[in-house]
Amino acid sequence: MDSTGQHPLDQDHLDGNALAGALDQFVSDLTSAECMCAGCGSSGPLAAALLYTKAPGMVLRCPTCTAVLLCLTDQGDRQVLTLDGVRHLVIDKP
Amino acid sequence: MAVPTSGFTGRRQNRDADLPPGQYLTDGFPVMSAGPTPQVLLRDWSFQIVAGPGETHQWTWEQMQALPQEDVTTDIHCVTHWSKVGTTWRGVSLDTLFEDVESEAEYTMVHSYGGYTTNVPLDDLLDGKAWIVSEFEGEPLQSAHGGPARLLVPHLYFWKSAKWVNGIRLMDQDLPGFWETNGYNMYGDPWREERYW
Repeated sequence: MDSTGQHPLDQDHLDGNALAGALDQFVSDLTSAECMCAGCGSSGPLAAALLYTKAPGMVLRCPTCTAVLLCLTDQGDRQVLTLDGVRHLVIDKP
Repeated sequence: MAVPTSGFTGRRQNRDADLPPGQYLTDGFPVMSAGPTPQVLLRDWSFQIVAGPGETHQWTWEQMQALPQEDVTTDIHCVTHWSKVGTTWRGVSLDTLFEDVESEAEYTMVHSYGGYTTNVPLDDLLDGKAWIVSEFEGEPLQSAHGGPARLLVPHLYFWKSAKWVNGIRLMDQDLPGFWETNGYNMYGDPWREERYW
């Protein structure tokens, strides 16, 4: 921030609210999304990955190298989704 | 007016009263796993403590078994709400393994075959609070439950008792392991119900 309390790049960006429309598609079924593993670089639909559920959270692993792609944890009143092992997701528009 | 009694559920309620909040008793031993079960041959197994650059202490399976073995009877508490009371284990105290380790570090990262990690403060591994166990209920520890050997640190939620353990790295700061990165508490005291962030 500068002396006026403004971020120095203010003129170059919008705030995150402007992403809402573009993210709408994420509320639909994501299991058909094409996922690239950040570990080994292989790609495939999330539906073809390996899901482990007998655990404190749901753990999805790469079917090629078994690295963790994503983890979904239920904290009761909220969920935590981490995507550390995902390089990218390719999602078809509805 | 009839006064409600505990009836047939009384014993269960009394036993549950000895459990941490939010826990229920189970007689089984649920298998929890976030990935494939590593199959580790005893001749390939090793355990190491990395205390710093150039200071690594390592044991083979034979060397570990030659150390003094302790019998431990304890309750265990899984963060998924089940508890199991009076479980019996046999293994080597971390006090024995840390006897010759010199470090100013206060934190540790526990590592396992298969890549699992979990963080535990060093004080919680010492003074008779943690073991590397290789027997459960008088039998060799099954691979599904972490065999050949797992960490046992029963005063914390059971995700801290890393299955298939193969090492402990000392750290100057507290960094999150696998579940601690994915929504679970950095410390995990079941009596204070420290489940999540």
